[in-house]
Amino acid sequence: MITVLKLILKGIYDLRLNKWEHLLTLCAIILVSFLGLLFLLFLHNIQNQIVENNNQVKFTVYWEKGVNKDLIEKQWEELRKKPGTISVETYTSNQAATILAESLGKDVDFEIETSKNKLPPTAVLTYEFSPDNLKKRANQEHQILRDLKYVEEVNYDEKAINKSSAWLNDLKKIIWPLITLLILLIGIIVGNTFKISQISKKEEIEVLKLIGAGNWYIRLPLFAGAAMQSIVGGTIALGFLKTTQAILNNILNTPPLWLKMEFLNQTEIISVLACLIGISLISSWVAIRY
Amino acid sequence: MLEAKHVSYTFGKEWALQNLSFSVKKGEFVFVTGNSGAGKTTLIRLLHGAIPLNMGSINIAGFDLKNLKKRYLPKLRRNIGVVFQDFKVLENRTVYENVALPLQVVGCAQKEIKKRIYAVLRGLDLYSVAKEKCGELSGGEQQRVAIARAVIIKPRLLLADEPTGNLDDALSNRLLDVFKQFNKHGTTIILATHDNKVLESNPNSKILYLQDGKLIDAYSTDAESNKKQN
Repeated sequence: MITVLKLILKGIYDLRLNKWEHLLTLCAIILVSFLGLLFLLFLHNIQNQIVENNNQVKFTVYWEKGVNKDLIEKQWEELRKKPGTISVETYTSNQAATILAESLGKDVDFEIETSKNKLPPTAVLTYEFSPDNLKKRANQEHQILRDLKYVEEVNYDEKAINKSSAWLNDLKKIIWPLITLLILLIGIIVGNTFKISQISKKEEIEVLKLIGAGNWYIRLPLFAGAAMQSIVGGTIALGFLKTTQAILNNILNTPPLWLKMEFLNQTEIISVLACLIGISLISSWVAIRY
Repeated sequence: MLEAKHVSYTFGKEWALQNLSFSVKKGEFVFVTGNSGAGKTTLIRLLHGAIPLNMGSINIAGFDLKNLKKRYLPKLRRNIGVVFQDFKVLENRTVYENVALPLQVVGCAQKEIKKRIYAVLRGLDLYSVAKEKCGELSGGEQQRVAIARAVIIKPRLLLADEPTGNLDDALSNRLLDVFKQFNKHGTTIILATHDNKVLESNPNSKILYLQDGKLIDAYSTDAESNKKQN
């Protein structure tokens, strides 16, 4: 274990040799990673925008007329507590009639407080569902609301949901091939950069073999050096990306656009760094073999 | 120490070595000589395991090169010191770092490494340049670094391929003295050279004379034991 640790430290310490080569390799990693990450940032935000605009469903629920006001309000309270609730707008018969009267104008005689008021208590509920099963969840929720006691009718825009589902499905079809392509491109460029960088160590590898160094004695320090370079390169690229994201957010998140530019989430950051390390290790392995 | 039987080697259709058989006893100083292209370097490379042995057999200190598995090759090399004509020192590392490499490979403690390196560097007159990068040294100094790296592990067998090839007479003699010193301490040495002066200055050594890959003569220059083996 101590030997392994020593070899890892040796690999990192050896980065001081061939300074220019290592610096240029690092610059190449930073540049390629930054460009890749910028592309990923745009994909991430486009996806967010599409999901945000398409994963909400509005239900209009009408209760039976003449039901006790307290019973209905109790149901409304329970609906407000439901997970995934974005908003709950409620209207008693009188409130509904008032709004209607206001919208129809002063010339229309509208008897709000009388028994002639035929408007039912109404609620407009907005729920947010997972984009993966939007249609299914909307149908389930529709059924749940219909089964509520005193509820007479529940409406929601099925066409809009179909449209949203189609959008989200199309997005899924596009995003993953794009991310795969992106990883592949970064892999090829970063991998080749490492390969060239490791070829400059050919002489050292040859000497180590001549003096009886085992495979792992030769490989481990090179792997450690390559991994360190990709971690440093990836971290610097993420730093540049954060700055770029902050600048873009300041520009885009203002009227009339109001486009929010979010940074990558933790999983995406870890995945990117893991990908870079993986690529550096694989390319180092390939370089040493040849 | 070393026994070679019917060793042959080809580069494509060209025979580099043909049916070589010889043996080297422990503590012997053996010269391999012959003209350019005679097969000296090929023989040294075969003995070091740098090229695979296809025909014949070689046994070095219990290692059967013919049947040696790839994973045991580093183990063999840790018992053999090797000095090449082109030095093969790492120019971007210091003299100390170059010489330390074989000891680090075998997992020697830092304290021991330091002690042994400075002792060897003093012996080879390299003490004053220990912290200098090898790329900044002269050819003669680089050659001595290569020798220091080869002998630091106290090898059972020391192979040297034209170690005096790039040096003037004075430096050549000095290097040969260094080899003799190690030989006196029990290291078996096989030195390839085409320089007659080197052979003449070592009358008591065994000589393997190669020509076109064939062992023409194996004899000792020592008059009393001048027995032809082949």
